[in-house]
Amino acid sequence: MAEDDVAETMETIREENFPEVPPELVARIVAIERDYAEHPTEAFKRVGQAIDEYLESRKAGA
Amino acid sequence: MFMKSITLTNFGPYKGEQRIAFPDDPGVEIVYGENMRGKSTLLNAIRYALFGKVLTRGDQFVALHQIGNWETRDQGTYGFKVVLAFEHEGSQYELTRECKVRPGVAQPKSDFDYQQEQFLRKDGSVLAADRLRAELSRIMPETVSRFFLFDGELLQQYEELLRNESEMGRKIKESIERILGLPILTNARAHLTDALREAQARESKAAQRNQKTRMLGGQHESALKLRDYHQAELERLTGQLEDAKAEKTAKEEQLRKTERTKALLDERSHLVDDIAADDARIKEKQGKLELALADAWKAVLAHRVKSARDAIQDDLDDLRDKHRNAVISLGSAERIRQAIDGGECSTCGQGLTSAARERLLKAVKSTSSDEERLRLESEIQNAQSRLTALLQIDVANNVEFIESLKSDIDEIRVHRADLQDRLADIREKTKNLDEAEVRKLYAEYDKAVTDITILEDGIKNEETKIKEVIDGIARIEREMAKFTDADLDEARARKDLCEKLKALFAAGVDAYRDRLRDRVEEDASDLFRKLTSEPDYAGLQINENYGLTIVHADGTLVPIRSAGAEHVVALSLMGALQRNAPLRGPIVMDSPFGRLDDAHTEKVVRALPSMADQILLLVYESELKPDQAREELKGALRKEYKIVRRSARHSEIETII
Repeated sequence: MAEDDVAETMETIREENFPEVPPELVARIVAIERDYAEHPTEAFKRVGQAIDEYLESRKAGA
Repeated sequence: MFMKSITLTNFGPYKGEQRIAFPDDPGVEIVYGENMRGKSTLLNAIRYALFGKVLTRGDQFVALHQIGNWETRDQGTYGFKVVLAFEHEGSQYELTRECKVRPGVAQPKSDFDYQQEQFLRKDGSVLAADRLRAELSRIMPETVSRFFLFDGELLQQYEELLRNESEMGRKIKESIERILGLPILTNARAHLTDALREAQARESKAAQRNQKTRMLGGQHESALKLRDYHQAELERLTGQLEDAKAEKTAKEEQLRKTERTKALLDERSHLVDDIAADDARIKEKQGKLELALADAWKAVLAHRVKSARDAIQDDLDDLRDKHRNAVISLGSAERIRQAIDGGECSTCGQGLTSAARERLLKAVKSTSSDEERLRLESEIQNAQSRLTALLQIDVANNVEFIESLKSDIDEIRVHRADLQDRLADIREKTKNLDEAEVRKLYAEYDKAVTDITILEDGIKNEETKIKEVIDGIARIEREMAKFTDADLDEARARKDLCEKLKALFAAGVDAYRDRLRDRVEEDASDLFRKLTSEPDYAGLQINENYGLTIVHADGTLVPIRSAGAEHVVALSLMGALQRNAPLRGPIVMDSPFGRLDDAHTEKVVRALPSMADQILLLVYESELKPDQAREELKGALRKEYKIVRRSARHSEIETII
């Protein structure tokens, strides 16, 4: 199964059930978890940062 | 990962430096070696280079002190080294792991006298220790190594996948999901759960900073703490439940092994009871026999008494006949006398002639007298008295009864002797058994079953409490939502986003897992049909744990399979995992054809090139004949090697082709 399958599965579910969640944030979380699979503490920190950055950008946009 | 070469120095039977240079092209490489020449050691050398471990067939660690070559050790040279060169994603790697004697130790005696060193060179540069670990765990995580370093003798581990709640099954399932990339999503779900928890805490704090929502914020914080407490408790109980289930499964496994022992112990216990029951029956019968024997002397008179009774009875019958006749005769005489006295017949009334009167007088004289009747009555009374007296004598013939008792006792004794023989046999078989251990095992199994029930009840209870608390939190949040300020709105937005992300990734885990199962089932079935020589098998069906069951062409499941079929199913699973895993690596198979017949071996060999880019087979020649391998693999067979014996402790690797 290609690595893209995880991202593809997530995008399908997002589109169908959570369209309000930004696709780029979901893709970023998937990438973080893939890159830091053996370093969960770092992965958690980076997921938090991704959420912060998204909220900041939304605030700035608003 | 694609292996380029492996160099062993004094590793196991490989004395001095031995090197295998693997071909650059994808395909199959075969190392032939008879038993005890070093095939498994070669597999272990790869494992040692990657993970620093050497395992026995039973998955036990081998002490470092035992790994070095024995001949060089006898010559005073200790330690060993493995260098594995490989290519991964376009980079060239050289991994070196060496076990050396610690400075100052002249003659090592245990693992403490050794130290290990590891280096990883990537494209010519040596990586720092932390990068080395990260790089290796990315290229070949140890948790999934069982699907790359495959020991044919450990196939029974795959059977565990068919048994729910088995500890080994759980570990293999985790490994499978790991190799298939599921942790990307399960880790994301866990991290988003924690992120949501933090966001909710922020919301509480923000609410407490506002005068209007201070109280609600406090309630929210308390409710979150209560939820976290119950969730921690739920996790603790769930962990304990998993442990208890694993314990139960482990005990079941041990019980299966001791089932025969337990059966013997139970039989022994029943035999002791049965022998005691026989003893009781013998005692009871002997009691009856003693009583019967006390009256046995009477049996001597029995015949005589019976004869006397019979004779008297005959006399009595005779006397009664005579008495009856006498009474009848006396009655007739009376009627004749009346006729003589009256001169006419008492019946028809005609007058008697003189001749008739004469005849009647003669007849009267010949009839019985009353004295005769009285004499007979006296004799009858006398005979009756004698018969009654004889009947009162207890002369029952108890010989038959005694014989029957003796026969019963003999029969019980024979039965008892049989039981005694069997008991002696079982005592011999169980004399070295630790019975207390077996009984303890049963007690531990019972305890695990009880613990599971208690824990399941506890979990239900915690789940109910968590639901109540979460409902409470939702109520408080609805109340808080009626108020607005910048801080609170920001915290709420974060919480809402985390909530949605968590739900999205939770749904992703389920969907991806289902998708993986479907694909593994499809690919394993496809491979299985190619590998099996049984045309009636239509494919494989996957279970929750990725265990595979054979499906017959008629749609029914084949619940029991032979060792050979088990082997083919395991290989199908391995192939399917390789096809679906994001991770690519060589498959090293140690003695993979041992359980297979020629037809299956042929099919498996033919299918090997489709399972992975690089396959290294470690086989003995009777398991896979070189001619057969060449015939089946043709161009996919890249190279052949042979492990050559120099001595019992010295093997060398030679290239055949």
